[in-house]
Amino acid sequence: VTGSCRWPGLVAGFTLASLLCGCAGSSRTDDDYREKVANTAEAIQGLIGTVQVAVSAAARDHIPAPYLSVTLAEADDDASAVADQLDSRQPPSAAADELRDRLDELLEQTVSTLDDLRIAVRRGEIDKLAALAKPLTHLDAKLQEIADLDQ
Amino acid sequence: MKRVLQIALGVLTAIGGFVDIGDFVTNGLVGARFGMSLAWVVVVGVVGICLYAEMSGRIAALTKRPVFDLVRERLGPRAALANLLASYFINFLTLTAELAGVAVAIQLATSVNYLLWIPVVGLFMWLVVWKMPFSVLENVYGMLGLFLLVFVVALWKLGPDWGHLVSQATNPTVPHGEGHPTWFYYAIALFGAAMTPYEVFFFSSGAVEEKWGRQDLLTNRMNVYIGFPLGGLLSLSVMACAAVVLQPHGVEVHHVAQVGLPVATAVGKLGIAAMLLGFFAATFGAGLETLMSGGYSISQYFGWKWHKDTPARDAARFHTVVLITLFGAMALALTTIDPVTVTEYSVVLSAAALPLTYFPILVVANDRNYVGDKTNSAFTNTLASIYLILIVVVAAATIPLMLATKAGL
Repeated sequence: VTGSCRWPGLVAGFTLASLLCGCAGSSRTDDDYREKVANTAEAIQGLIGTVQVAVSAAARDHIPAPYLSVTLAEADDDASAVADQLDSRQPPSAAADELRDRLDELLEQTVSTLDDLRIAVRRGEIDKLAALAKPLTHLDAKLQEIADLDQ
Repeated sequence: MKRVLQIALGVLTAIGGFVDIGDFVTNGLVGARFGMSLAWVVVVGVVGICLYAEMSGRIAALTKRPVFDLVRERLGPRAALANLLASYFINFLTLTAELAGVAVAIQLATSVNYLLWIPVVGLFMWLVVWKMPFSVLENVYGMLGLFLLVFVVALWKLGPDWGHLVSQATNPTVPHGEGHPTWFYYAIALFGAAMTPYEVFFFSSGAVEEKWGRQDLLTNRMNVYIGFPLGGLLSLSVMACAAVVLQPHGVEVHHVAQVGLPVATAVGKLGIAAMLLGFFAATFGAGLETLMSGGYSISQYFGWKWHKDTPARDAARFHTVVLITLFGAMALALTTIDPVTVTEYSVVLSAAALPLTYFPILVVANDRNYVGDKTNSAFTNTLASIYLILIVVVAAATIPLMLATKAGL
């Protein structure tokens, strides 16, 4: 093999490896699906944490409105993306269906709460944020129950 | 004041190297995910970059020639071309990320989408390279970058359990629920960020731009031993703030805005203003470093005139390379590619290219034909050899770990 022939092979190999890294794997077993659901729940909990820290700073007038607006918008977009990603995975059994429905409901409520927060910031209603963010504590606890399923 | 400004080159290089957009987010991510358990990597990285940056500055001061020039001479045109292509590609990716990073800083101050700011930032960056003298550039962006010290203030005001932080840092263990490969992947990312090749290219080229000579060896040491540890301190303080505020909430850091939340919590609006100013300067400075490093390395490889302060008509090819590189990076940034991901990849890939940069520096720093009686001491050579082995191990492990962990997922 000459040096000039090796390059396309290397490039193709690297490209294939990169593509494989980016692919979402399918869930063949309940255990696998449960792990993915738990990871999704943890990811959403992380976003709830971000929003809680930001709202807490806003309540003390510690964060400029544009900064807060961007932070909440990013959390909202990320939560929607995580929810879409879960929807793209097929549950392998009826038990997995049930698990998915449980998480779906929580994701829907979380995204809806984040939407409300985002809109309130855009309208300059900073004083309403703490009240609007209250459901997040309960949602966080419920998501923790799902995250714990993988322990 | 003159003494302070003399270390601006080291401060700018280090701040660009340690707290540009990718490092900034990586430090926040590592702190929120692993606590201070990877702090040791920053310390190892600071020692390594001090060691090799001192050599590159000393070589530049004594030979009046920058590192890349000598890489070509010592490795030959073919090996140097491989180094040039690798370093230019990494520089290009990093520049793309920095352009977007500056735009993100403005977005956080205005809430206007960052994509709209990219052309403005690109134009401003070109004007700075075109018009601003090198000494003004390094002083302005190096010193403004110091506003990031607000993270040190924030950490102090947060009043953390210092014993716990120190214990995490001195007894590093992989946190529960995390895998060893992921932990090592982020260790490599932090090490690669600390020792990213453009730092020595920029630092040594800056030394030549500054016309350092034998009498400036003390200035070189001051730049290295103050600038780079300062970059490391900023890196650690960002990590510690994230460990204190974000880790308890299970936050997974993906955005610049998240990294600043501990500052908002502890210092308030003024702190956020300081952070954004410092972040703007650090990313803009890193953008200038990578942009000019791209121009420097290509010009130095082909033997073109490359000094920034040389009139444009006399260094036309250098300025053309800079302009084309800038346009390319702006175009890539405008595709909405995630700047944080781009720079994380570029940092990790730069770890794979480290031996090509650092081996020739070690060789030249021991060659009396270049540095006369100012060759490395036995201690420096021992330490530098240990680091070279470490660099080779890191370079070999980078790509497999990246694939195994799906880039740190």
